[in-house]
Amino acid sequence: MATDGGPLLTFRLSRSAYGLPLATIAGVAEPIACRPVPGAPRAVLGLAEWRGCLLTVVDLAALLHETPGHGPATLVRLAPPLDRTALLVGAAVRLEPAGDDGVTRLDPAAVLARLEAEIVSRGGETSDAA
Amino acid sequence: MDMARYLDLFLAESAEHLASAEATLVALEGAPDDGDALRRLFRHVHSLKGMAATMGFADMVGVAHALEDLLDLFRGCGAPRALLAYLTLAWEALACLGRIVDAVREGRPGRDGAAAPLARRLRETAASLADLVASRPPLASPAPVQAAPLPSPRVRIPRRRGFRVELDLAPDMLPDSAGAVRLVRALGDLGEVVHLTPPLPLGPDPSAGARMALVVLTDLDPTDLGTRFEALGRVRRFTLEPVARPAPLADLRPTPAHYVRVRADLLDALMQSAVELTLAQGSLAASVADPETARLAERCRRVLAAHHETLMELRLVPFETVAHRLTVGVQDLAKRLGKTVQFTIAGREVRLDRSVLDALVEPLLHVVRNALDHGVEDLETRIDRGKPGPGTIRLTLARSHDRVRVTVEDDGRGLDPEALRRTAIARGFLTPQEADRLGDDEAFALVTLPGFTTALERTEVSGRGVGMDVVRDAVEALGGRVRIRSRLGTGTTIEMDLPQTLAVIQALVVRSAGTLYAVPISAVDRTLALDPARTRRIDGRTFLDTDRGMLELGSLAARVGAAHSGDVGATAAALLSSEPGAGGVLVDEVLGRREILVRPLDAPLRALRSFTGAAILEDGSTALVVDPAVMGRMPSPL
Repeated sequence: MATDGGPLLTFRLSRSAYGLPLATIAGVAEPIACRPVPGAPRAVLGLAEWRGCLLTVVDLAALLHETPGHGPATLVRLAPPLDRTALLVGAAVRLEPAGDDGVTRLDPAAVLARLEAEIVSRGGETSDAA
Repeated sequence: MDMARYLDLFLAESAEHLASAEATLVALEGAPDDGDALRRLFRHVHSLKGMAATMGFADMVGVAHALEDLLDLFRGCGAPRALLAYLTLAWEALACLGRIVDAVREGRPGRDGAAAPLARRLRETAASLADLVASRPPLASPAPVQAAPLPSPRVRIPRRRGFRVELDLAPDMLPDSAGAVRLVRALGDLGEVVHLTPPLPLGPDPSAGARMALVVLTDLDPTDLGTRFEALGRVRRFTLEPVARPAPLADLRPTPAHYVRVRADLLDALMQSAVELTLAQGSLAASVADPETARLAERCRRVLAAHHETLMELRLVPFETVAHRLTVGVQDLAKRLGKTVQFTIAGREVRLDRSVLDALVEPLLHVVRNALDHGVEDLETRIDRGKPGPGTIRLTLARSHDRVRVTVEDDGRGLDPEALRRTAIARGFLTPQEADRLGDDEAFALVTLPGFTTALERTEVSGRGVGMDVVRDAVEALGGRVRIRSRLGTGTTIEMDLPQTLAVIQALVVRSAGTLYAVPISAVDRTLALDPARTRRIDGRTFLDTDRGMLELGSLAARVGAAHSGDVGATAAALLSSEPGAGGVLVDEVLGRREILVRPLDAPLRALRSFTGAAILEDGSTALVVDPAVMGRMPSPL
């Protein structure tokens, strides 16, 4: 999935501003209740049902070792092939035609791959279970 | 033209043509005079060449074209048998085409280093044979290159007449679907039942109404039919009506099935939405008080149940679709090892869930390669032992209810249980005393321990791939079991018992430390209420005195990695593992047995080893589906 160029969904966490390429996003919604998954890394908030689908909800701020920014949190459902995953963005989001130099462009696939590698490296379980 | 749009179609159709070509080649080995089989093989190769040309895969075109030319020589004369001498070359060509298709599927360039020299050898072979076959007369009726039409349904124009029949059945009839099947069989004695409503099986649903409608083609006249219906006993009343257009009766026959190609992910999405619809309908039914609305809700439930069953059926694909990979793999390896083997597959028509089939191919490839590499002896040894020169490897699939048994049987050297015991002792897997107590079947199972296979039999071929431990892991991850039987000097049989489908499973829904889990029924031997009088706590570990001896139990929550699982409650139950020798898990509450749709976990949770997926329950809550291996896992340190 191409993530270079194109419009971004931007937000500012406690330390930096980030942007998710619009091409990687299937939709946004208000946060929904999650059921924690034992053994999952702390950044994984759990599973949530959204329109009949089970989504894995990941706290993006925790994943980036940040703390939430200002404004209401937003749930961002990713586009296929990651459409069973949603990112909780702990800040207000806005749509921008393209990121400026101060925005860190995120690749959701790469971010999630790092999280998955963390689980694999611990033998399929994590010690900081929820 | 954007070829990427057609890539999926190319991959799907290539796989089908390769599978059919391989099956046809196998058939030709058994019936070398079958000119029709040779023509079919030619058409499959011709189609592969055409598709490759459209996509621009030059290596594939080169090999397919050269193979096509070779086959054409035999096709055009009356000597299909002559191809037998060149089967190895044909297998090699199919293997090469398969490798190119695999490369394309994996996103690699559609090229193969062996393609050009192979195409050259094929062309040289064809050239050397051209003079030889030129003198032979052509086959009487060479078939055109176009795909053969579907076989026509058997046309019978009997004296039979068609009747539409409605039966009012005895009220105790429908709950017993076996009884309904017996009734339909009895109806079949009257003629040919060509349409039945509702379709079988009727299932335990009294609300469906004790009625059945059918169209029967029969030689009997209406009076005779009426007498027969009355004699059936379980029919209270019936109506009989000649069908409007009795001729041609062939119109009433079921039409041949037609197939369409669908994207698997769309099928999965359809299944998910069907489940969601079922959940919503369940919530709706629970909240209505009005009888008329309740009746409509019940009608919806029945339609949805039928819908769900059809979708489950759609997920099943025949084993045939992967058979060519196994055959080509065996042929390729046999050539490299210089062994001759007859590899047969029975039960190609057996259908499995697509996800089961996908996960099964690699382990199965290892098992058959293993049989050839380590089981089947070389020619000299086999002759010394009084065995037929060519070895035999038989792969058999058989379905029983919702399970499929896959058996790989070879007539090779077999396993030596004593040698396995010695290896187990030498490598520290067992003490000599433990090894002495081991039965032969248990000794054979040693080869599925991690590290045991590679220690025993690492070779260039099998030792580099997955070991038997990985085969067992893969089969168990599918909810299956592996069993090994062997006789030294005679051969080895590996049986894999698998669920036909993974999508919907029977599970026990339990609660542990506040979280819902679904434990596959196949992983549970039995459920026991926890009796404090039979429970022992030793060094912080819990043991239960059972008729299987003292079994160690651990909190399910702790075993799956919940950090603060706490103590199990007073109402706790123990779920004993179905794995012999393994203990079980403790849970706070057993909510009951449910049929659940397992939804795979996506990144990053798919890396968690404790769960195979998650399920949405009828009330909308979510349960994590526990990997069966958790049942026997040692508890986390306290």
